[in-house]
Amino acid sequence: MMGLAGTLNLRRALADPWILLAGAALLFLLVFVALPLAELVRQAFIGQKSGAFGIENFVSFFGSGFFRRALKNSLVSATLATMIALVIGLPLAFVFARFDFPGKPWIEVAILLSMLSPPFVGAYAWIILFGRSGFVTLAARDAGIGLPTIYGPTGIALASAFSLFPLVFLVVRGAFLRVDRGLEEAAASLGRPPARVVWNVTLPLVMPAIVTAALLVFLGAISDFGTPAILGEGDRYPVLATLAYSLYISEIGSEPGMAATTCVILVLIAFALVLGARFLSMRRKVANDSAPNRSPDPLPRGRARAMTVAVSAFVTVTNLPLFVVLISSVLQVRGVVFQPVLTFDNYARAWATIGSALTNSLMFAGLALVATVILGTALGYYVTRRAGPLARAIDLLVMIPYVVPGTVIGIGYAQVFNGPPLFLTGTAAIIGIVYLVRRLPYMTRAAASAVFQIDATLEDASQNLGMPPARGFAGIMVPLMRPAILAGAAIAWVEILNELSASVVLYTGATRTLPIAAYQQSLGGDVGIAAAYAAMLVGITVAALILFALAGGLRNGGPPTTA
Amino acid sequence: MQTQKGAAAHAAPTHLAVQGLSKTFGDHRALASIDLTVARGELVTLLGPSGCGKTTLLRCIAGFIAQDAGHIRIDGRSLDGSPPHKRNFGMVFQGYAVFPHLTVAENVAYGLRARGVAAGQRAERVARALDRVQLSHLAQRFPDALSGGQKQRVGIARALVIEPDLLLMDEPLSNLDAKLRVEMRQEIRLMQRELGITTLYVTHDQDEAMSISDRVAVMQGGVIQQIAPPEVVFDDPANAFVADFIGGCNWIEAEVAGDPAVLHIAGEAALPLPPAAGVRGPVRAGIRAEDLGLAAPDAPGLAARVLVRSFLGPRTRLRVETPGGLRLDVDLPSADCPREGDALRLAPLPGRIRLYARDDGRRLA
Ligand SMILES: Nc1ncnc2c1ncn2[C@@H]1O[C@H](COP(=O)(O)OP(=O)(O)OP(=O)(O)O)[C@@H](O)[C@H]1O
Ligand SMILES: [Mg+2]
Repeated sequence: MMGLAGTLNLRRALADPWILLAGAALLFLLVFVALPLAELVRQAFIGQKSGAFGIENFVSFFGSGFFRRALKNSLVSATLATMIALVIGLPLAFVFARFDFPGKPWIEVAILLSMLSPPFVGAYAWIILFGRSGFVTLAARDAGIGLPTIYGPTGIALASAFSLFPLVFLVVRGAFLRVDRGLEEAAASLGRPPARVVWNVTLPLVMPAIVTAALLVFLGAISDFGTPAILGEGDRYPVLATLAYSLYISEIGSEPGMAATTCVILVLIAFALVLGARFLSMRRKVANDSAPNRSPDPLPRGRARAMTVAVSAFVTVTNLPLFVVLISSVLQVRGVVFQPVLTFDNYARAWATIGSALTNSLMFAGLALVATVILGTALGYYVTRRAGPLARAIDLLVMIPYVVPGTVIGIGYAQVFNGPPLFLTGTAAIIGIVYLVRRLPYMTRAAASAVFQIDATLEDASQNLGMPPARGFAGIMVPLMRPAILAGAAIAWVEILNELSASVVLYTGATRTLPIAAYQQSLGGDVGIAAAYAAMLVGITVAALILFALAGGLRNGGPPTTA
Repeated sequence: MQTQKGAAAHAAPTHLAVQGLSKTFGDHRALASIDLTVARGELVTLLGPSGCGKTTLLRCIAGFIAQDAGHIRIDGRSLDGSPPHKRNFGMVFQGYAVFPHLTVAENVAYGLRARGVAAGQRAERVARALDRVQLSHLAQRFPDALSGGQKQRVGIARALVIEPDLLLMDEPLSNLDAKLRVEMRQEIRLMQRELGITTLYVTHDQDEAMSISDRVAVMQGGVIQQIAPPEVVFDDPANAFVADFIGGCNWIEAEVAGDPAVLHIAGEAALPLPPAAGVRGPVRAGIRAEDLGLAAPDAPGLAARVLVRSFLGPRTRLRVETPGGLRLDVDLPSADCPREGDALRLAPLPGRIRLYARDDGRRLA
């Protein structure tokens, strides 16, 4: 009897195409997520000098002033970035949650734009403005004013904050919307002035969301490679991500063991942050989900207009890096200084040196996007609808790259796939796979939350009516998930196209991409070409966003983070 | 095609046969060796409290859950290993499960499409099915513009249009308001008889089960406690659980002794039992509220005092208490009904005391 039941179940399992897909996905994730990380951990425990197993590398790390400085710099610049992002994001979140004013949807798109444009483009814009030969720096010098340097923690924090504050905006606005307004009214009815009600009642209620947002910003800032690489000028102001990169890549005296150790320390910090955020949001759930979601208060006409102007001005400032890059891309360059003369020279020179970077980018990102959307949709469905150890394992593995900084993944890949059995170093495949793996968590989550909201009995009904499961999935689930898939795809496209921190470790001359080209030029290359490349990236990003905004449903996507 | 009530149950051949069906989730036994047969054209309800395994049984039959042991046969043909989409059963869901991105007509056409029915014939059959559930005028609407009742009609039309071998309904009416529920269950019954379609219907509402079934299967703890026509389940419960779940019962711990047999209740008067009762010793006696009446002045009876009176229309329910502290529910005609605080004497109607074993609740007499 048991034997019979056993074979019955086995037959069912084999008849279920999802099992095969999930099995393949698990294998893929083990090879391309778990294995590289495990390898890094292993190498971190093999002494760089002695080759013996132990904590030698960690001892040298904490024993070296240089390494300790990188750790401190990472923490300091990420903390500063978090504070600035909160200062920008919190008022915006409050205003958007509480008031209605003309142009709100467009301003919101502009806010998301600052998040989706590549962070190192922002960094480069700050250099154009405040760098040694920057517009503002030179103008100030002419006026006899010496400005503090943009290279170092201030610059890194500013650039990071300007690209990460939208996370604060999204997360905290949601919390403001869920706050039970009855509580505020109760406080107001006790005679508290409005400002004090917000301070004493509302703020504590949204505190968990603020903490979560702060941790996300901190994670984004500490994981980023491009911004500190450009604004920290390599080893002058090292942070963990750039330190790991240069330890690994350095042509003279590469120290893979120390690189791995740095990666492990960075990953530990990142995991601690995410666990902390989860712990905090679990422990205190004060925003009341059952309270009605009250729509924002309409303002009197005059004040609404004033609000629009103020918010637009504010958001324009946060998007300033984009404008700076776009404008300077059409300015003449003399030496390293932009001149107030309009020209397309930069684009001509950029085009002459671009090589295969643009086609590489479009091709790798296009292929990776297709794979991300298909696999992310399938896995989002699988982990939501199927219980069991396989689904749990996939869910866990797929989310790991959400936490692990891109540079770390890149170094892990470079270590593991540089020889048999999987020799991928220098191939297009390794770039495509790293794009896919880094983006998969977001796509999977977006798909999963869409599936979660779809009544599970719809599929039962479809099957019961005689539709084979695969056709039913295509006919029922895909159309119902489409808005979420589209939104996820839009954001995935932008993020993949702008990916730098992992691909910069893995590219070779033949697989150079546009972000890498832009990054190289902005590091002491031709400033005009750098601006032109950056402007091209911004252009493709904006075009994609407009396209998808027109297709509807940008709002359904999960919050993206850094490239 | 009209079938006489009950005739189907006895004359028609077995259509669905469930044999020894078991299913365990983790260490929870959801179905314990279920045996059940449904005749062609018969409507059987699965009735039982929440968590008793009704949905699990239905979903095993539909093919969504693989049983651990046992067999399901339709017309003698085994369904073991056959996936849900090959079973040709129609299912109606509690939450309607109407496809939100398809119009009413497209919803109903879905199963025909799956079967590759040609467009012309499809339109015709959809039109007929919609007509049957009175939704023809809404054919082009999308579901979010329908009421709950209308959505469930779409669900029913969609399940019937494929001419299923078996119709499975899992609490199809429980999301509707009380009045609509009564209306719809009559419509369902009428349609089911007209079409002569074999139906398994899950509910936890006993009125619903009583009013539409040829037979009722009362379930508890993954076991079918009794399966019989509604009046039999009500009048002749197989055990204490069925008696309590269907109609409710006053329960009295008592002792049967003597010849002729008499029911001794501690601290109360003894009540005579029918001569045939062969039971002796400790029992649980069950008496329905409507089976208690006022005792004739010289006949034996239980003295009691009225605690609470609730008016139910033609009858009034009294909660009474005996001097020994026994509390009983009694239904009396509303005319001349005693008031709260009044003293009265109660006697069971002849032959309406049922005796059950104290340990497992099995029926003794
Ligand atoms: N997939 C599952 N995994 C674990 N336990 C389950 C599962 N499905 C059902 N059960 C358990 O099996 C028992 C029977 O469940 P079932 O859904 O069949 O009850 P039901 O009679 O339909 O109840 P209700 O009237 O509440 O719908 C319950 O105790 C339930 O918790
Ligand atoms: Mg149920």
